[in-house]
Amino acid sequence: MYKYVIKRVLLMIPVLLGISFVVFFLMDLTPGTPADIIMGDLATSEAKAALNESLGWNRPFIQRFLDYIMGVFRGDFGSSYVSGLPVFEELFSRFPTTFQLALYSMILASLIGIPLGIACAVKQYSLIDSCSTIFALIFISIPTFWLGLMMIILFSVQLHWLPPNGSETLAHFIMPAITCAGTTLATLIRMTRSTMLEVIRQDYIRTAYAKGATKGRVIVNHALQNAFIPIITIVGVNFGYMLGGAVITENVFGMSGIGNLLLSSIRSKDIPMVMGGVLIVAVMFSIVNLLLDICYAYVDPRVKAQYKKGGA
Amino acid sequence: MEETRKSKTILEVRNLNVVYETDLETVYAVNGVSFTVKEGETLGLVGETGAGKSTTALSILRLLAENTGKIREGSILFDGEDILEMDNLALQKLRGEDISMIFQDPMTSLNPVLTVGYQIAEVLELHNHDHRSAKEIDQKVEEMLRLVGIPPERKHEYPHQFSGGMKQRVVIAIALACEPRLLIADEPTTALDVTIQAQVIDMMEKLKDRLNTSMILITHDLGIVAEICDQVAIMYAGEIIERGTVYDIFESQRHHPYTEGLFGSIPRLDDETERLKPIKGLMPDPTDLPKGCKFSPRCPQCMDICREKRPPVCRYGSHEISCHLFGQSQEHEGRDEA
Amino acid sequence: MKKTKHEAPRTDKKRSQLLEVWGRLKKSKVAIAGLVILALLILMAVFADVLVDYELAIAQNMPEKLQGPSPAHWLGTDGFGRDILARIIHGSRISLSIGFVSVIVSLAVGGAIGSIAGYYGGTLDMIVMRFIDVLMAIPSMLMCICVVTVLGPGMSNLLVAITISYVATFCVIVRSSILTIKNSDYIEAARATGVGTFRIILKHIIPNTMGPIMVQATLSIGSVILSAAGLSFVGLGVMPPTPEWGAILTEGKEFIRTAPHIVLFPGIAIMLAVMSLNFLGDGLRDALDPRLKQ
Repeated sequence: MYKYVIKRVLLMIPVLLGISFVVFFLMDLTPGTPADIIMGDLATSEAKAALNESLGWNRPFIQRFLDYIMGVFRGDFGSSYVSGLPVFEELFSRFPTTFQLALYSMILASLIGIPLGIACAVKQYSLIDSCSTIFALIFISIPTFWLGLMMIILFSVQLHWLPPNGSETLAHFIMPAITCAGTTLATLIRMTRSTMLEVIRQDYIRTAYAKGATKGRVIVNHALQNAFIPIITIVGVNFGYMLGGAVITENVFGMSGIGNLLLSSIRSKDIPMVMGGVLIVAVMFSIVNLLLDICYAYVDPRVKAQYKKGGA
Repeated sequence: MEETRKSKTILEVRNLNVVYETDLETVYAVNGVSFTVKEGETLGLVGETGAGKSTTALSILRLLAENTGKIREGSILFDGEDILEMDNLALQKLRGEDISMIFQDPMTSLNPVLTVGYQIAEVLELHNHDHRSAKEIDQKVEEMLRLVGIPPERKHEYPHQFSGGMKQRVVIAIALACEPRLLIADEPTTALDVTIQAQVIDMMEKLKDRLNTSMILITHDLGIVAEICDQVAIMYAGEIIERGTVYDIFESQRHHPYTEGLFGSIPRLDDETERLKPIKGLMPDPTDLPKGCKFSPRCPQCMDICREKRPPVCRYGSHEISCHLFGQSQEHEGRDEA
Repeated sequence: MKKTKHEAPRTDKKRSQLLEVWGRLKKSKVAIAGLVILALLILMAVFADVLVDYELAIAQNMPEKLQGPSPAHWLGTDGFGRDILARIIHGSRISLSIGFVSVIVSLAVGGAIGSIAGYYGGTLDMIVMRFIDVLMAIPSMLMCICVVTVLGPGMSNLLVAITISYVATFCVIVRSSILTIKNSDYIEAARATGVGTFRIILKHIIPNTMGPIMVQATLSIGSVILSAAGLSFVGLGVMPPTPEWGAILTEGKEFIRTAPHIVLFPGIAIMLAVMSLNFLGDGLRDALDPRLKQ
């Protein structure tokens, strides 16, 4: 198992290098030089040339890329073109907001989505099943930002119950968490339902009934664990995405998370910031995926056996 | 023979009718099946795939697919009590303790994420009337594993670490753990290698004798039937078309044309003929069964009446055949036999 | 059920297979509802010019700004006095075509890469898949953001960004369905009887991979419309005054306290379009795989 985890971590490195390369390459295509962005139109071309020279902009692409990567390994993601502050610090200060939002919305989505999905599968074709299925289909079709705006209209503008923007108190997170959870919640209901339906039809479920087990026991002891892998995958992958900043939700509710930081950096062409942000997101995403894989091994002994074989 | 006749009837199935209903069609899976099983006796349920054998077996434990499988008519008496009338609580007590079942495919009938030890212990815990402690249950699990020829240390392993034959042994251990009075084995050896088949059948017979369990053995392997069954019922398109003791089926001169076809489909070394005589045609569409005798479209001796009327049951002692061929001279020959 | 899995589906059966799928699809009320709504939306997009003059959707008319729904303006007017219904009708052209075009292009590109990688396997497959892994590790929203940063906002750039972010998805789906079918018994049988590679791909693999891919494509059009609207919303997509649904909504953001209807109606339009595609996609999946609906 250890060996497997180490192997997986090592395998992450080329993927992350690949991502950095793609993003670095894309950013390099951006028209204009760093000096244009930092100094604006008013500066003289001599001054700009000097700044570009000091930033190493004139060196070949590959060399700049390698320098950047070496910097990243030392924990240096460069400095923002706009504020001049180190990128890493800026991202780090925004992280708690993004993390809280991701955490709350995942908890919300799981607490409602998984039980509802199970209920749908256990009582297939019942009222709760058709209601939840339709509800999930509608929820998956609602644009996130629109849902957020509608909630602001209702709960902030009309009822004055919740603050429309900011991220200072827990109350500030209620509407964003619901907005963010929406799609995941709908996906979870659908996925849990279809996975459970699939599992319930398996022979070993019939074996369990043939032993004289109650329906509840069969669902909890036999079906759930087998349905777990797809369910935790959805929760995990969406959590990973959200850690990268729920760009739209943060924008709607004016939260100071990574997503909003990325957006404003893009508008101001703050390339080191965008680079750093995307890289952090990709790292988060890969770590979550790794954790998911380790989870699989604990849920399913067959996966664990494979790892033992593959890792040894 | 004398013995079995005296012993008590443990299971009686009367006029069982089962359908599978979907939005699109209705499959008539079992159509008026009746049979009895006596204490300590083994009944072989024989027929092609799709003849309704498994459906009959699942109906006995009320394990038909919830949304589609429906028992339309009939009664299933276990110890005089109708299983079809039982509530959930009574059913849960019945399943695993009084009647247990071995399923067709050992590869899929064990839960892949639970240890085999747990899966055997579960049935013991569910029917723990003697209030056995965890330790005693654990000992019983080990005893069951030893009984089916698996080293008890392997109880901590998961199903994927076992071979097909070993998995089927585990399934058998689960089925016999509570020493049920009736064991239903649904093609227990079909998924196994021939050499393993013999071992498993051998083991099942020994265990059955030891615990004096009655058994319903579902199979399409006539060899196994001849080896271990006392009674045989032959099913076709959801009906029992011939029934009798193993001697009636294997030794008697009179047979339903389908049974003859079934025997004709098996290669025999002592036979002069060079070719097998397979039954021509296919099983009828279970959503649209023929009127009259279900076998009539394929029957080489089909008469006009066969297409119109359901054949009567003709009895020759313990031997019963549902066929118009025998219907006409039923009285006469019936007297002969008696 | 098992039997049909191993039988080689013959091409002359294809027609009746399609009919069978259609027959099952017809039975699902939800799928038909989706199909009808989608058809209406497409008709609306096609005949937008006949329904409403484009000028009405674009020209500013300040005296009539921020009006609520009335007989003159069924869905009211926006901050520049433009009729919202007219903007939504013309917006359907843009929103729907972004959805369809980017899915079709990414399906073609991703499908081609995925099927080549899947069919030939080996080193080629390895290299392609590592590259796809990298693309998949970048959330699609971020990918779009990166591309738009480079190219600058605008409708055609938005199209490129979304297409790129969906190529990887389709590549993976096509590759995995090809792998499943490639290793199935009937392809082995076809190869054993001497059927050529090209013919196998054309006659066996393509017809048998179409089902899941169609379902995925239908559902993807919905999510593309959603992401396009989202990108427009954060100012990285279609620029005003072009009446894309997300852009209409964004323009209404500042009037959210006084005239919430500007935000409400385009949102409903997006929802209807995406919902119809989801309904249809779900129905299609059930119709293609009757096993799931027992």
